[in-house]
Amino acid sequence: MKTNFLYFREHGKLSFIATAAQTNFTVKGATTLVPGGFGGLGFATAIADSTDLKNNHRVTITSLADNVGNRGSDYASANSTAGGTTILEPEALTISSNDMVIANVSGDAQEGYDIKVGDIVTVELIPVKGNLGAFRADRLLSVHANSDTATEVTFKAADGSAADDTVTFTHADDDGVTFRAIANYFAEAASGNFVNSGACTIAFDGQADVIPQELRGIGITNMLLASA
Amino acid sequence: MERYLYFVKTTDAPDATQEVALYPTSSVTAIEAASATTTDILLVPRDGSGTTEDKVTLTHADLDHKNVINALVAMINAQKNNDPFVVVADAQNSIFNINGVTAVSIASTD
Repeated sequence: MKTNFLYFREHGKLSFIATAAQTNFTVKGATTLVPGGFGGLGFATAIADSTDLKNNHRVTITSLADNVGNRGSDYASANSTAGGTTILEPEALTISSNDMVIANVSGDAQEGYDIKVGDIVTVELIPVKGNLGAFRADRLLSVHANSDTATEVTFKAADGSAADDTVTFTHADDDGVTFRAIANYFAEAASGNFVNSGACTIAFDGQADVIPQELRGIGITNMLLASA
Repeated sequence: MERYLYFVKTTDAPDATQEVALYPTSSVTAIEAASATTTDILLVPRDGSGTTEDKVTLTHADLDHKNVINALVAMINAQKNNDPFVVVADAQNSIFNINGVTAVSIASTD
């Protein structure tokens, strides 16, 4: 019998087109950013601080044009090329209030980067335990309401610990309508009623905005994973 | 029919603990991202403790977790032959049956 694995990924990505030689990009502090939207339009969880930004996120800059001397000495070349993408050194990144701040070369001769008008700046959550995973459907324990706007799906902890692995959906308060839709979906998934080629069932991929029709359009605004 | 997943970590002959392992597919409890280029396969621990999972880590192309997970689950569910022995990653023989996977490691408390 087919073993169903349910794939989940939190969303965590924002892109900006620089309108000037800017260093600051607002990444939190508004619901349009956290949770924002799926598919590269926000973050399931706000970037906590500079350490979180440096350790758990990747920032890339795609250069609009060829530039000379706009990258610090830690990069392979001091120059960027049109269409080329640079992964920023984490040391160039800080969080100040709600802004991600990217050091320029005059401020950080090693890791800094001088952003130009039209450059595309992308900050993305790096997949790790707790934001991307596939759980066995036959380890589903429950679907239950945590509140009138939160429905939690629990799985037996993959590491055997007492704490469950959980998936929590945030949605509108609609007197149980969304809860029932979510519960119905997972009942079907756990029963192995989905036909596919044997690969994973994409239960909720917020990053790629790949969401099954049963869960799309029912007002889910966020999905958070927690793995014991 | 139960299937079994085979892993070899070493490029030379595997002759020590955590260098080679075979796990039943029913032992796979979850598959999770571990870093930008690694994915962990979590398994029921062979020491019987039930608390600290055995873990096989696949190293793969950058941010390619979804493809790796999809391919692994497809192997777990493979129906095309009756061979219960499924080679996932065998570094000794340079066989990596998931596209983009280049290395494997095995961790167990036993």
